[in-house]
Amino acid sequence: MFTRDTQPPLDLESFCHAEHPRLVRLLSLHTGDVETARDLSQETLVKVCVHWRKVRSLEVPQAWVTRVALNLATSHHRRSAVRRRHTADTGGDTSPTSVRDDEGWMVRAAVASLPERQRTAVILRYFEDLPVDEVADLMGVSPSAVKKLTARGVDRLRVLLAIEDLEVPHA
Amino acid sequence: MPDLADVLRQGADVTTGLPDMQAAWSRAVRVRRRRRLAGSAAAAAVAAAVVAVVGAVADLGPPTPPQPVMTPELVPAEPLPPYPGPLLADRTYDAAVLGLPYRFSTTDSRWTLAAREPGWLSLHRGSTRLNIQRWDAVYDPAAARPEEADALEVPTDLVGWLTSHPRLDVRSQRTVVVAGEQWRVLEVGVGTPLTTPPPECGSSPCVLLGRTGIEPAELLASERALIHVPVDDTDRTVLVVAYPERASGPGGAASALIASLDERPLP
Repeated sequence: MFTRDTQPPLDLESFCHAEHPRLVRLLSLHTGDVETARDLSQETLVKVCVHWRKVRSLEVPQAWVTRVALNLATSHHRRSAVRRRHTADTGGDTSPTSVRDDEGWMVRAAVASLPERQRTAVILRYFEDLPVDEVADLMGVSPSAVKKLTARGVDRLRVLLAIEDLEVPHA
Repeated sequence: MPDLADVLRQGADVTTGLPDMQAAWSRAVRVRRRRRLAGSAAAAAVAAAVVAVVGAVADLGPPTPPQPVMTPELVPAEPLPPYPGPLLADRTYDAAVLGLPYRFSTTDSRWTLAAREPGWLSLHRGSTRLNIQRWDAVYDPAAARPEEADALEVPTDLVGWLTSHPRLDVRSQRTVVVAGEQWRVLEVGVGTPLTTPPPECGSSPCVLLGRTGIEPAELLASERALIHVPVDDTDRTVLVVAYPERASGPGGAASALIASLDERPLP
């Protein structure tokens, strides 16, 4: 039993618990920062709660959740870019806030430095392992655009990570 | 040779922690309350505007003769079951509890109650959706990605608004009689979907039309719809039957359910 205004429904709670780890991992690649990823995942789950009736009726609710999370990540990038410009203008502190305490940091930093659409395409295609058509659907672009974006993104990652022989799945 | 998927997994190998569900739920409840209040205020403003308007809805195009509709035999109506409910048993149901002055009957045991909110009843049968919805507002057709701020007052000439909607493809229109009232029926598809589908449409291209409270009336690009707008009614109750674009029509079950609609005075 739950009280509508004080407790989330049980199926909503288990859905969110299942989605949260996936979202944090996806968003940590997208943003390059684990703390930000956790915040954005939490923000995404608020939206899931708001729209739960609709979300639960979707055939693939995870696709909706992914789209919302990526939209939030995009907004976050835009706000961060404005903040960075402001900080640079005012000569403020520009030191990174992320703690470089794990081996994955280089990978997250490299992925996060890709242009927005390349980053999203690479993550959805090779981390989420979605088919090209589904990535195209989620991003609102054509399948051929997805192929171009992933190809460019992977080329850039090879340079950034200094891994010339980086093997691409499904290639 | 390093594999990209493995490299990405290494980058994403982070401590995820647990979501704070209590905080998420509390915020969601606040958001929904705020939106509901905003919707009620908009509805009051719209109602006042509608009452002030003298005149009828413009009748665009040559009218076809009203089609007779069978009236169901009156049986004691069942109260609507709670949402989300199982398949509706074949009975006559009363939607008065939602502020909608209609009774309807189901006859093939395959309809489910997909939503029940004040001013909004949604029934699903497979990929067919039948919504009876009193619109509080409509979405600005010019907005590339409609948000709350892009909701406009429901136009007095709702048929004209739908007909000239730049994202809709209106294929035909006619006049029918449902529940003893004349309704203008537009058969529409999505001509130009929103560039970025809003969350309300899942991951599918769509168009947002009207809104009841915070619940939008959307039409997916993969769907066609028969949008029924009452000719003489001013409360903006819109009946929408949406079905797959590839289907030739909404199907006999939807037609039978519409035919069963019976307008009853609200208590």
